[in-house]
Amino acid sequence: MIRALILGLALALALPLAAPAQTATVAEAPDEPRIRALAQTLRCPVCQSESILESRSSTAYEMMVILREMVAEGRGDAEIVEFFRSRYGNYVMLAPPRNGPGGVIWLLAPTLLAGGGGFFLWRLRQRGAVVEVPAQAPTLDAEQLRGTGL
Amino acid sequence: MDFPLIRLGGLAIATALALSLAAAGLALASRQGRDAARLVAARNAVLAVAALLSFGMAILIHAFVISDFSVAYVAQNSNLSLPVLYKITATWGAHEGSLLLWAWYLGVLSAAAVLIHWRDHPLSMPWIIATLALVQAGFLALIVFLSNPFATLAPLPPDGRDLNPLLQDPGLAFHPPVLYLGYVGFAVPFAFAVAAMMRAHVGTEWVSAVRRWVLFAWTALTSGIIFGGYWAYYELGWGGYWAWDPVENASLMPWLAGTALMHSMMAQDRRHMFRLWNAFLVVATFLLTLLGTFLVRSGVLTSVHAFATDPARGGYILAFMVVAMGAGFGLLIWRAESLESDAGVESPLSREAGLLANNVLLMIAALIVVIGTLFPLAVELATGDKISVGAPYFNHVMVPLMLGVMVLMALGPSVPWRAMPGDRFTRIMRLPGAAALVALAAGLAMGARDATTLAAMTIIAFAATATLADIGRAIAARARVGGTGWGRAALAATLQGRRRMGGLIVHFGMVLIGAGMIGSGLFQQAQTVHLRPGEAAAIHGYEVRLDGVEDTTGPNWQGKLARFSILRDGAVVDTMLPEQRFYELRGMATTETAIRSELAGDLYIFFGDEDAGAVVAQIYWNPLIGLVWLGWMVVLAGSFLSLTEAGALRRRVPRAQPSEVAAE
Amino acid sequence: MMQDHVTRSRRIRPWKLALVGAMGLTMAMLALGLTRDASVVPSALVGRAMPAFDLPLLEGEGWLASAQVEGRPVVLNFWASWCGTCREEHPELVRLGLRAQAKGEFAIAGINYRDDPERALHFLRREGQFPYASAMDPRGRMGIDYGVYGMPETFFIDASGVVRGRHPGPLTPAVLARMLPLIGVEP
Repeated sequence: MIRALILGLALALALPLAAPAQTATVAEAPDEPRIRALAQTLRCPVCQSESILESRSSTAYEMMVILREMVAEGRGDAEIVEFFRSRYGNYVMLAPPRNGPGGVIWLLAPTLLAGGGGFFLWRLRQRGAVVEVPAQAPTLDAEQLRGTGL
Repeated sequence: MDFPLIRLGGLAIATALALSLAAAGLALASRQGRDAARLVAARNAVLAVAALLSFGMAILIHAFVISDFSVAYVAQNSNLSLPVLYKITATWGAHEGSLLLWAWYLGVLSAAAVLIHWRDHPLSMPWIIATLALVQAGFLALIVFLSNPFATLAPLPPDGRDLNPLLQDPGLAFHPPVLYLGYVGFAVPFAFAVAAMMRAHVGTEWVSAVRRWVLFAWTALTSGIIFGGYWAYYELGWGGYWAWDPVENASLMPWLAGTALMHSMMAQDRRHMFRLWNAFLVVATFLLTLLGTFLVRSGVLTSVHAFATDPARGGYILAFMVVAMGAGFGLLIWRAESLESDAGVESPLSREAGLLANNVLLMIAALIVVIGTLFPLAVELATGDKISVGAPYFNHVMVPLMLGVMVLMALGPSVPWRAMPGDRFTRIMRLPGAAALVALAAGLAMGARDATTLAAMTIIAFAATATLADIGRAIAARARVGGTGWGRAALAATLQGRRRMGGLIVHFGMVLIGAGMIGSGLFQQAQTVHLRPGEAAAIHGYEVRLDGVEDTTGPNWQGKLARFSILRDGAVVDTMLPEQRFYELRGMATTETAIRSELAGDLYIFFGDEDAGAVVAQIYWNPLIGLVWLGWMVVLAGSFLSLTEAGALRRRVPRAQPSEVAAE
Repeated sequence: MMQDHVTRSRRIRPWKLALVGAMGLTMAMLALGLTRDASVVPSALVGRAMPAFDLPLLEGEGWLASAQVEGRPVVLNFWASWCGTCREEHPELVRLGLRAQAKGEFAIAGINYRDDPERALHFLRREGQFPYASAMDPRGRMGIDYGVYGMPETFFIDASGVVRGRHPGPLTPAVLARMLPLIGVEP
């Protein structure tokens, strides 16, 4: 890492002299953002929690190639996802499909929010029992003072 | 020569196990401390365990440094050609050694806790010692019987099998040690809670004592998590830092619960509220650290970070967790009636109400992470189908939730205990509200139309302004009262109100972290391009030109290095050198990203396969990501400020009438 | 009064039951989870028509196509020279191949997955030739069509061309005894 930095620094100083005058700028293919978005939702089947976009495995690489081909052929998102799902099962989708076996997970957050909101309001309404905190709050020595009679 | 030394290591941890059991037995037999001799013996056993484990740790590190391949663990995780730094860090690079690190921390922290609180908590001490010693014995039994790092190999191998290449990085020196410190730190509050519940003495003393332990553990856990993110960002190389992998989630669970705990403890300390809830949170946070250990080491869930797994270990950790859970929650259920607090929330516009809302949201977040992580297992057991709950799900659900937490974070410190007049609240919120509107307008002007993006920008601006305004008000009050200049007032406010100022600084750090995450997550630019030498890609006003690809080698790897020139307005401003490395021994390839950091963001490059003379380059512009790391340092500063608060507990009784400076 | 007090304190709070229930359930689930291998993923292909393929042979000229085995039960084995467990199942595959050759009641074929032909041939010379043909899938395209996760994997396809079973990992007599009847072949 440090060596690379030093090397980089040295090169940064040396390169402007050698730099060619002309540079051809290559633009990203217009489909790439869509490909990236799709690839992020597909799990690399031979890796663990990585999407095929993140994974460096050869299977993920080949899946990216297929994904690009399908996008180039003008296939829709749903069709592309279904292509992989029909081969690798629901496992390949990093977010469980809402209509699949794991679809209920999408209800988790709304349910918890409703329950938590209800609990919050219920606690707020339990306002009656206001107790003054004793002015002479116990100090740390209380443990000792309370003695051995426990 | 080295063989006896290793035998001593094995002997040390076996003795530590026996002494831990002895400490627990002596503490329990001390008749609640009335038998002082037994209690002193138990304490000394705890101290001896810490010393023995330190010795064991030193021996294992030594074995790595001298490449003693007669030790199976060293042979599996080191290599003669490994650089010395990685030889040392390899000590905790796999299951056995990382468990020993864990046990060592627990030993040292237990000893520290017993020494620090020996005078303060004489009546709780037997239970504290017994709890800590039993937890220690639980881990040591796992090490001694199922994961012994000191086990030796019969035929001495000529060389080791090398450390996992992904771990051959300076990150391994910081991330696990700091993260584990956080995990282990939560064992001390657990011990205090057990003691308080056993003695049915559940006032505020234990919470006051535990506050700093919780803050310490939380700071370490936060640092460990963020450091892990940073490591993933530059080492794993996909432009992100958090993948919602089960093992990452395992560290987030206790973090969320611990964050809730740190806040709700304030209510017990100041207002004698939430007593049952705090006991629950302490137990839950500790159990979540055990759940994390289980998930990482049992092989129940697949994960990038998982250790080599073994069902026997998984079964043992599960049994351990069930025992801890039975003890912790059993006590809670048994003592619930005496824990229930009588005080209620007086007004929805009060610190209490804010803390309650904070706890509700953080617990929802923790539950979502726990359930989401375990959900695939549940579905598999129920239907036989295997599903994934990954980043797209968690991002969708957690981002709005954490934005909600950030709103509360902005409001909470501005609101005093008990109640506050509505008009004063409106007055205080005027400035942050205006900042929020400006941010919203700026977002719309920038062309953002996505609801989450706009909400995120608005909330970040609101929280940043509200927190800074709180800091400003604290300083202004000092200046007014003391009649001094601003500089002096700032110093006084910082030094004399360390808890409050520390908390506000931590909050500001969290706002920075949030801003960095939102910026890099929602405004990331990316380019995936096939480049031939001489060709360039344009991103964020830069031209990234590939100059060539060459071979490169390291001590234990071979690889390729791509030379990129970074041009701005036609002039070369920098050179970036991402690499691909191949580690022969493990047959593994890694990608080394090149990162160019500046204030506005990071230029982030790595390259994939070569394809007909061109390389596939992934070029990212990650705006504001530096704020995540900067925010972490601010969090650290705030935590340390809060930790250095003078030990004596000043107990002020909150006044009924709201004061000008919101009382903490 | 006393009676009242006792009944009240004996009443179990609902949150206690919920806590015990939730924790018990979670622990039971984790315990059950320990009994399964997390790395095994069920195949999405079982119960569906086998994906068609047409690949060059590993040895000699010619192609191996799904059309060639139509109308017969098929055992399709994905293997590679770089996979250690493939060596374990090798004798079992040779035995199965000899049997298919002798009786002819089912077809068997190998798919050499993501491999270098030189290394694959070397592997066969060392471990022994299969008594049946293997085709090459150098980029793993067919592997993706079959949803292959790791090496080795074996698919069992019935006479009507429907995938009836998939076994990840090395074949053993026990696995064959379970899988072959699914495609109407006496084990």
